[in-house]
Amino acid sequence: MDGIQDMGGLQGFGVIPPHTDERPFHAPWEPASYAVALLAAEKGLWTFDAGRHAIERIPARQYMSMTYFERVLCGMVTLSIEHGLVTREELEALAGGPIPMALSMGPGHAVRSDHPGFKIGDHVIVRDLMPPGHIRAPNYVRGKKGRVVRIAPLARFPGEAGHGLPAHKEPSYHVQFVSKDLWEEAEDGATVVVDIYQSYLDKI
Amino acid sequence: MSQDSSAISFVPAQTQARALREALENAGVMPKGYVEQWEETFDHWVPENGARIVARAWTDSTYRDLLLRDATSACRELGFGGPEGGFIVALENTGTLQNVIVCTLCSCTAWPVLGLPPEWYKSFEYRSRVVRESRQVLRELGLDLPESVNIRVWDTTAETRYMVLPMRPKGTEGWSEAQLASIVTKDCLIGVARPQVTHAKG
Repeated sequence: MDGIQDMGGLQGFGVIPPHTDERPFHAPWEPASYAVALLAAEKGLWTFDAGRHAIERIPARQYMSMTYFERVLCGMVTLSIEHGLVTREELEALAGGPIPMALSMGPGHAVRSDHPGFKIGDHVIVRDLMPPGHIRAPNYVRGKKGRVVRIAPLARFPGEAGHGLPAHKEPSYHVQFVSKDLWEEAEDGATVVVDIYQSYLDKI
Repeated sequence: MSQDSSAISFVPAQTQARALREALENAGVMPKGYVEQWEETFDHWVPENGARIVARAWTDSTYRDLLLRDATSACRELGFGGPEGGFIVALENTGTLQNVIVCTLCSCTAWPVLGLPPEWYKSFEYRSRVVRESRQVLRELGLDLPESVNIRVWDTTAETRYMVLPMRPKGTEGWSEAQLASIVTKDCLIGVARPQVTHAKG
């Protein structure tokens, strides 16, 4: 989906916040959000892909105003309800008030099972896809050309796994792009490498 | 009624989290103490793990070769693996190349070797800007690289998890692995800092 989560290359953001502090957690409730994601993966309830997509489905205004762990928590609340583990009414009764939820899920996106694959050095183009569901090829490389520099092991295709569908596994490729091919004003010599699933790529 | 759900005042996040835990425990899905058990694991996912790997690679060329060829095995050899560490790739910095890691779509990181990501790494500013204007972003983070160093940004958009292998700084000849590891920070492993000799401990 063309959502706010796909922020690579978006402009209008300010300076990087100060990084005086490397601690991942800043409130005692925060680790629970990750623990629910890990529990779901351990029990086969839903995948990290589905967790990511649930976070993407948070309404954009809320996505922007929530902290990172508030978004993870909202994703886990949404999936717990969608999977019938709890009801929204039950949660809101326990919480004593309204709890934010992500928007409902659209259709998934099937893997291309007839794909010939690539080898290192191949020149590829990222398909200019705009599926309504979960996609892990960021907008800033769609329609752009790059070169395969490494082949990563088989992994579940996010268009399926992110939607709770039986997921096919396929390789992903580390595709190197010349930054100037992505953004005209980028400096000479700068490169970006994106880890892209096979189904998102075509050979040139 | 307003369609703008941002106008609803939700209960605080800590209350939401408590309600979710209680509901999942009541449903028999989450065992008691489950969160605490993970918290203990999170405490062991620290950048000192990645620092040990780097220090070993700086002092043992066979290990360095393994790390650059098959970082997943090299990390496992020192006892580091698990969730978000199933396929790790080490990115070698050179005199003319600085590697930098980001996850523009969420905040994926090699948890077992870098630790869980810090706030700034998850910020919208870092996620949006570092792919497009890496040199300026590094400058804002305190790393002003010479023009002769090209910057390569690695976007963590699938299941590969990265760690940067920084260059061993001059002035560390004869140091122990522990001393070397003490100058490798989380920022160095992400690629937004270089190890500083003056930060050594031990």
